[in-house]
Amino acid sequence: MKSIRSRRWALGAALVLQAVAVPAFATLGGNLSSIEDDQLKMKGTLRTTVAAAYTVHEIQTPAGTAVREYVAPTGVVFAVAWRGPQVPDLRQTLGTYFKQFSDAPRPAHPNHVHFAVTQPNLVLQSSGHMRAYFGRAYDPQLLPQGVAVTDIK
Amino acid sequence: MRRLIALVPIALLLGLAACGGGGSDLGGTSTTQPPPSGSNVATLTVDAGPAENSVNTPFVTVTVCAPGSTTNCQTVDHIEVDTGSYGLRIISSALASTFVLPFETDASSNTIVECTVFADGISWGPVATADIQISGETASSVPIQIIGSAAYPTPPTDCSSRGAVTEDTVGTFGANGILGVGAFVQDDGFYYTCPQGTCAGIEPTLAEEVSNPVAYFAADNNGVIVELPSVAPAGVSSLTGALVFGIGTQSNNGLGTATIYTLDPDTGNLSITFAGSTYSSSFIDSGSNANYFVNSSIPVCESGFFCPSSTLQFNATITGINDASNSFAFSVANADTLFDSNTSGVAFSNLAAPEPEPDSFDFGLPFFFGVNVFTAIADQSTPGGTGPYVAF
Repeated sequence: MKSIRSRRWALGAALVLQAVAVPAFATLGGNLSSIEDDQLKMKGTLRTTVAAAYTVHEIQTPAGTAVREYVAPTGVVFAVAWRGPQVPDLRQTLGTYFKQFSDAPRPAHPNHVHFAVTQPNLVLQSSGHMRAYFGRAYDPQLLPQGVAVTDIK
Repeated sequence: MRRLIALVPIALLLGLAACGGGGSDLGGTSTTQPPPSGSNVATLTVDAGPAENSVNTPFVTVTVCAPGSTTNCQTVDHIEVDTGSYGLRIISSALASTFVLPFETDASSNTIVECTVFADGISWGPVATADIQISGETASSVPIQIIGSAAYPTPPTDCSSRGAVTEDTVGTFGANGILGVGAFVQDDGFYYTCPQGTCAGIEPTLAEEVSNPVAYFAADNNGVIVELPSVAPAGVSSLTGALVFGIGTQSNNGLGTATIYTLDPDTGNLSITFAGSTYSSSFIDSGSNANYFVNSSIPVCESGFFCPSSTLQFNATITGINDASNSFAFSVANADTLFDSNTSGVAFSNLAAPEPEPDSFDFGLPFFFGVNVFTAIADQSTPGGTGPYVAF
């Protein structure tokens, strides 16, 4: 909430960086053209990266958390990921999937450092500790061909 | 493997022997010394916890008192000991309804309320001021969080949107509270005031934030040692160890020849190299109930833990920001088999699970079995240098 912490956001060599002036952001499962308020809500800066199978829109929040949204050529957001000192607003980021996330079964042996949801249309993995969190969520039914889960980071 | 053994420095083995460790060190023999005693030593217990579903979770008993009082106090058992967070949090229902601590207020006399974000959910509740007694140590007027307080029952949407669920009961939280004794003082959380029932975020002063009580002790305030004995491969149904306060401040908390691994001053992370990859956002965490690492080939069972067909042996190299580096061996057994063949088991040295963060390796509580783990608080001086660091 207070300090801005810089982190390294390594990009794959195959990715091409593009500057984008207009906020164009969506929530998981949403359409790129339908929602443009995430960046405003998170008061973040946006950059867009284009890869062969998808486009990545990344919002950097003032606190230093990066929220990345993965958009298929069809314009649908098939995955999101976050990394940084704070967990972002997941209701905003997950959109209609947030309720499924909230209602998901709790693990038999829980801990506060890891949580996972594995369902036919939602895979979500959250991990980390105070000052360093990570998470990814995707809809396997929306995953474009050729995209590896490990690309979502 | 043979080559790695040759690389282990003698100093590591000596260091572990000196502090009573041995279970996880590469090439060392497993020895268990009786836990230390003294006014700076609290008993650690690993059991199923008040939610009766915990594994590899260490608990301690804490007494909280109204500031300045030694009689208006309450003792709470089963507070989870977490080297991955900062500050004391107690579930409201674990306190008697007649026991009241003063809430912390801002300059406008509004109660300060915190949203604590864990990877598995959020916890909401006011900040109270308490004197804290653990073993013979006392910390005065420490900001702590009361989770699930009837006075502030519902988190604002801005808070609840950061986690799957709100963990505000003993059952959902898995403990009567949590004692964050990691390498920082402040928790860096989300703080609010809620005048007229509407909550809005505030920027508290550092002194107002919920804080690691160890830093508030009059003495022995530069860090902790978590000491737990080795655990046999089949797991054990009970385990007792010690949470020792101070580093190099008493005869029972010296570093000996333990290796110091300094931590990233922003995140508390260090680097771990495993299977040819280096994970630069790694950490050593008593609040993680297994060793979590990136692997896509070991089967994962429904419990979320790894379930290999036979027990696997690995090595991982821990490297501090100071480039101090040593290799450690660990095992990964089939979690279903472990749980099925030891239904009362609460501590398993060979429990592991997949880590989703592609840049992290999380050595959880299994790493602590048989190895005394020092955690030095940021900016506090110790005979081994200034924190933040871990040492073992």
